[in-house]
Amino acid sequence: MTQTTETIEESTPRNPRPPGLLSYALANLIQSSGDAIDIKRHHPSESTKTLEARLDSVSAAQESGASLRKTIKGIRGWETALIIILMVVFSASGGLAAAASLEAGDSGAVNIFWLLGVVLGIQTILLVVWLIIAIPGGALLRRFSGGSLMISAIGAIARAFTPTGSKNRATRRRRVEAAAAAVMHVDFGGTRTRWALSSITHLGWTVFNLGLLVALLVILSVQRFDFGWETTIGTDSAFKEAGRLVAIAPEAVGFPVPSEERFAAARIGATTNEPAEKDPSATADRKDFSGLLVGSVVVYGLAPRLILFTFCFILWKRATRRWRPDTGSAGFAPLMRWGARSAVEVEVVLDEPLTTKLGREATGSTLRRSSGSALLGLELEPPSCGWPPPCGATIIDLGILSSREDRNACIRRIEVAETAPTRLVVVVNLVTTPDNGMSRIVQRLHAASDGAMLKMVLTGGERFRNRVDAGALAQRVTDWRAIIDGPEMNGEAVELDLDHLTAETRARLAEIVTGKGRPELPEDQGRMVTLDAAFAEIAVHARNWHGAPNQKELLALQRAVASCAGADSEDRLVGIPDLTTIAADPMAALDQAANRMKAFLPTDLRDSARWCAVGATVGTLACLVTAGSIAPVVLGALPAWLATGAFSGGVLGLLKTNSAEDTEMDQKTVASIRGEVIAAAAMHAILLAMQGRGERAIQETLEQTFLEEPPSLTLTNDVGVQLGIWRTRLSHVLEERGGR
Amino acid sequence: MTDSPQESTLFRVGVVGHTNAGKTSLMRTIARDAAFGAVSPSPGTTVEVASVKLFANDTPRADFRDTPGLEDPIGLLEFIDGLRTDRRDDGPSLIERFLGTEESRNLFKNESKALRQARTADLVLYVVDARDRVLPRHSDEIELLNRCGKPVLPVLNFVSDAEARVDEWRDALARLGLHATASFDTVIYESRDEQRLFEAMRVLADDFRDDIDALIKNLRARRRKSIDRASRAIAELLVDAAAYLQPVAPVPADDDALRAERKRESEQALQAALREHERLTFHSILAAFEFKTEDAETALLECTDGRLGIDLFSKDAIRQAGFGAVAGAAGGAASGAAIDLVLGGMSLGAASALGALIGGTFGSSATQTRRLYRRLRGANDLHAGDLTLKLLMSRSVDLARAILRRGHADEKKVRPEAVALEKSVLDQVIKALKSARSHPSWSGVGTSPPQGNDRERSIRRLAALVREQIVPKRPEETQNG
Ligand SMILES: Nc1nc2c(ncn2[C@@H]2O[C@H](COP(=O)(O)OP(=O)(O)OP(=O)(O)O)[C@@H](O)[C@H]2O)c(=O)[nH]1
Ligand SMILES: [Mg+2]
Repeated sequence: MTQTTETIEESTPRNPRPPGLLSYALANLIQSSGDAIDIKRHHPSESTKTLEARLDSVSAAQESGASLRKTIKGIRGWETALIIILMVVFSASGGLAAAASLEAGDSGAVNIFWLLGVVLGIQTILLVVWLIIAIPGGALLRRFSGGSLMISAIGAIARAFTPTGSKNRATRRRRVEAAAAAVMHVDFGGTRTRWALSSITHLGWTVFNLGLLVALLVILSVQRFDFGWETTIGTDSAFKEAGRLVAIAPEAVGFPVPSEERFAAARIGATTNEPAEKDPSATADRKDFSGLLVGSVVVYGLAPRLILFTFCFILWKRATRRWRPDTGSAGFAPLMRWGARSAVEVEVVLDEPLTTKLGREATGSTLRRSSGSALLGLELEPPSCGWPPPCGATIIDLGILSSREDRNACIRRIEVAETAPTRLVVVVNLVTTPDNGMSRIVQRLHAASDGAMLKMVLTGGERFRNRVDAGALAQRVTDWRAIIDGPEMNGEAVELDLDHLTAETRARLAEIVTGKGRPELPEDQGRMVTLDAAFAEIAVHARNWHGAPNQKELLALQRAVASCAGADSEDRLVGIPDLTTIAADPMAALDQAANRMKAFLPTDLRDSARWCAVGATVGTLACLVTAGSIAPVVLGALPAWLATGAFSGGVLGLLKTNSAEDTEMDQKTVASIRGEVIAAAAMHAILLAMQGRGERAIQETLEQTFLEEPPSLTLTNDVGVQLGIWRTRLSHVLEERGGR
Repeated sequence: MTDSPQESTLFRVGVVGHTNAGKTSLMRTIARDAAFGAVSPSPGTTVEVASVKLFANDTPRADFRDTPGLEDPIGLLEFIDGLRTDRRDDGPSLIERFLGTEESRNLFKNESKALRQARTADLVLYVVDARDRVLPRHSDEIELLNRCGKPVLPVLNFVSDAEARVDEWRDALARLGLHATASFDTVIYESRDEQRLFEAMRVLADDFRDDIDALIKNLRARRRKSIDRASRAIAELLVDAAAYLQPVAPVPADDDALRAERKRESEQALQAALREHERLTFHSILAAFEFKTEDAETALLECTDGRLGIDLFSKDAIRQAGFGAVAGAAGGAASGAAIDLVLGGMSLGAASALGALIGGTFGSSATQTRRLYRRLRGANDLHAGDLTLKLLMSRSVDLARAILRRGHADEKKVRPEAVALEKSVLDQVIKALKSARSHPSWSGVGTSPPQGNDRERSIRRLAALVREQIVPKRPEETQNG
C-alpha cells in the first residue's frame, strides 16, 4: 500500500558528532573542489528527524563522505593524542616543580611561604588573568583563534596527513583540509573558543597539580624535612596572621595543620627552635606542616582547577552540541536538495486493474438513406465568424453542444431524422482538452449518424498558441486526432481557425463541409476578402486599446493582419530579411527591414516625415512577425536597436516598453500615434494583399490611397471611418487598374 | 484537539477537478516538490491517487491527495442519476452505490478514484482552469462533488493568465452555492495566494483549525527563511569574490612575452574559479527556495536565452545587466574591466596588508605573510574588478527574484526578467565590499569558507542589502516578515 522511495540506512559506522559535522566537512570539500564531486541521490530514512542528521545521512551515502568520515576520525584522534601529550608534559612539570622547590635552605628548614609561593603563586596569578580574559566576553580569545592561527593549524594538519608520495595528492589534501577546517571550527571556533581553551588550560593545571601532589607525597614520604619561615622586612605578626589564614581552608577539609603557637615557634632563627632530632614534638610538627603544604595544594591548586575544568568542559561540550552548520553557504547547496525533509509520497493503489474492455455500442440501423452534411460544435464558444460558420453550402446545423440535455437532444435528432447525414463535421476548440468525455460523445454522435464520414475542425489555434509552446500545440492536435482515428471512425481532423477566417481558410472549410472541391475565387475578389478581413481585424484591435497600444498589442495587431493574408502569410514582404539573417544579427535585420520599407514608399509619401515613420514601422513589425519563432531574440535586440537613434520616437518608441502607461503622453500625441499605427497596419495589409504585383503598381496604389498625412485618431469610431475611406479609395484604384 | 495528530485523524484533503486543470501542478507547488507526479498538457496524465503529507514542526498536519482528472462528468452524472431507485436516495449513498458498480471499475475508472477520495476526504479542493468558460460540465462536476457530502473549496488555477475569467467564475460558483473560493497560479507563484488558500481551507474545515494554523505559520517562516538563505548565499558570494586574490607567477623583469602569458594564465584561473563559485551560489539560491530538481542546472538554468545561460565573463553578460556603457569604455575586452591587476611593490594592497599585520590581529597567517613578502618583492596578484562584482550581484539577485515567483509546477527554464539594479545600490554594494577587498583570507573561493567575526559581520551587512533587492519592500511583506 505504502511505497516510499528512501533507501535503507546502513547503520554500521556512526557519523561523527555533533550532527552536521560530516555534512559541513563535505560542504567544505564541495566548495573547494566544485564540479569534481557529484552528489548521488539519497533519501534519508523517515526516522531521521533533524535537518543536520538528514544532511549527514546524505553525506555519508556519498563516496567522498565515507572517506571524510575516516579523515575526521583521524583528526579527532590526533586532537586527543595532542591533548594527552600536553597533559603528560604538564604533570611532569608539576612533579619537577615539586622536586625543585622542596629543598632546605641554609638554616636546614624548608621555607614554607616560599614553597607555597612557588607551587601555588604562579598558577593563582594565571587564574586571575584567565578570569579577566575569559569571563568578560572572551572576545580576545575568539579573535585569537578566529584569526589565522586556525588556518595555519589546518594547513599543518593537511600537510601532515598527506603523504608526499600518495597518488591523488591534491584530492587528498583538499579532503584533509576540508575535514580539518570543519573539525577545527566545530571544536574550537566561534563561541566555543573560550570554553575550549579554558578547558584545556584548567585541565593542564589540574594535571600539573596532580603531578605536584604525587611528587610531594613521594618526596615527603622518603625524605625528612623541617619547615619554618622567615622574613627580612615583613613583620612577624603579619606572617603569623598569614599562616593562620592559609591554614583555615586545609584544616576545614581535615588536613592536619600546625597550631598558632607552633607556627609562631617555627620562625627560623628563634632560640627555641633548634632542629632537635629527638624532640617528639618536632615529628608532630613536621607532620602538621606537611599537612598544611599538601592541603594547600589540594585546596588552593587542585580543587579550583578541577571545578573550573568541569565547568568549562561542560560548557564547551554543550556549545559543541549546539553547533549547527550554516546550511546556506554555497557548498551545502547540492546536499540540501536531498537533505531537506521532503513531502512523503504515498501511492494508493486501487484494488482491481481494468479487466473488461469497453464493449462498443452497436451502430444504428443502416436502413436509412443518407444525405447532406451535419455540422455541430462541442463546448465551443461561438467563433467570431458566427455560428454556423460560413461555408458556402446548405448544411444541417446541429448547434453547439455543451450540456447533457444538448447532447441527448442532438443525438435523438440525428437518430430520428429520415436521412442520416453523409458527413458529420464536428468543430472543437483546441483549448478544450480532448478527454474521455469528448471521445465518448464523438463516438455516440458517430454511431447515431450511422457511421457518417467524420470530419473534425480544430479551431482556436491562435488562442491556444498564446498559452503554450509549439510542442504543446502539436501534442494537442495529435491528441484530438487520436480521438477520431480509430478504425471504426476513420475521421479526419483539420486545423482551421474560425476566429481568424481568411479567404483561404473559408474555402478550405467549404471543402471540408461539402466534400466538394475547393470553390474558385476570382483573384481580385479573393484579395478584397483578405483585405476586408484584415481591416476588420484592425478595427477590432483598435477598439481594445487604452490610449496608445503597447508593444504586445502592436505585435498582436500585426500578427493578425499577417494571418488574414491566409496561406500567403508565410510569405515575407519583399525585402524583409529571412529567418537565418534575422537570427544571425537581429539588429542589422531590423535596420534593413525598416530602411527597405521606407525606401519602398512612393515619392510623395517619402517626403512626409510621418509617412516615413509609418513605413519604417511596417518594416520593423513585418520583420518581427516574420521572426515569429525566434521573436525573443529579436525582441531582446529591439531596445538596443531603437536606442541607436536611427528610428527612435513615434510609433517605434512604443516598441521599447511592454506597457505604454509608463510613458506619459498627452491626448494629441496619443491620437497621432494611434493614427500612425492604424496607417501602418493598413499599409501592411495592402502590401500583403498585393503581393505578386509589380513594385511600381503597388507604389501607385499606395500613392492614390494614402492621399493625406497619416490621420490623428482619437475615438474608436474614427478608426472605422478612416479605414472605410481607405478601403473605398483602394477598391476604386484597383478597379481602375483592372488587375494590373 | 489535534495536538498530537494520529495517522487516522490526519487532515485529509482531496484534490479533484477536470483533467488538465492543474491538480498535479497544484500538488507540486504546495509540496515544493517539482518531481511530484507527472504533469503534461495531455489529458489523463495522472492515473493513480498519490498523496503528499505536509509537515509543520516535524509533525504531519495534512494529507493532500492528488487524483486522476474527471474526464466525463456529464456522462458520469447521467450514469449516477440512473442509479437512483428511490426518491429519498441522497448524494453520498448514490456515490457509494456507484463506487460498487462494474462501470466504476472500467468505464469511469479514473473518475471513481477521484470520487472515492472526495468521499473520504475532510475537504475537497476543486481545481478549475480559470481560463475556461463556465460550462455545463463544470456544474455537473460540482454536482458530483456535492454529492460526496464534503465541504468543497474551488481553487481557481491559472489566475495569472491574461485569459483568466476570475470574476466570471466567482460569480458562477456563488450561484452554485460555493462562496468561498481561492485563486492560485501554480506556475507564477504568489506567497499570498498560497496563504489565502490555506486560510480559506481553515474556514471550511474548522475541525482542523490548529493543523492549518500550524501549516500557515510554517509557510510564512519557511518563506522568510528562504529569502534569508538566498540573500546570505549571495552576500557570501560577493565577499568571497571580492576578497579573492589570484597570484601571477613572477617572471624575470625583461621578459615581456612571458609576463603577458603568465598574466593570461592567471586571468583564466581567476575566471574559472569565480565562474565555479557563481555556479555553486546559483545552486544555493535554488536550494534556498526548496527546488530539489535532481539536476538543477539542466532542468532550471541552462540554455536560457535569458541571462543565466550567458558566461559571466562575456560581453553579453555585461550588456544584459545593463552595463553597456562600461563595456564600451573597456573597448570590448570584457576582462579588462572585469579583472584588476593588484600591483606589486608597496601598493595599496600591500600597505593595507601590512597595516593589518601590525594593527593587532594576533597572528597573520602563514599565507598572508607569504603573500605580503611576495608583494614586497614586486610580484603581482589579480582580483575581480568592480564590474565583475556588480555583475555577480545583478545576476544572482536576478535569479533569486525569478525563483521567488516560480511555482514548483513551472516546467520552463528560469527566465529572469532583465531588470538592471540601480546604480546607487551597486555602488553601495561595492562600498560594503571594501573591507573584504583588503582581507584575502576571507575568501572562500575554491577553499572551505573561512570563519571569522569580521567576515561574518561583513556578510550580514551585505545580506541585508541583498535582501532588499530580492524582495522589494511591500507593506505586507514587512508585516509578514
Ligand atoms: N501557465 C500555467 N500553466 C499551468 C498551471 N497549472 C498547470 N499548468 C499546466 O497545465 C497542464 C496540466 O497540468 P497538470 O498538473 O498535469 O493537470 P492535472 O489536473 O494534474 O491533469 P490530469 O492529471 O491529466 O488530470 C500542464 O501543462 C501544466 O504545466 C498554471 O497555473 N499556469
Ligand atoms: Mg495530474
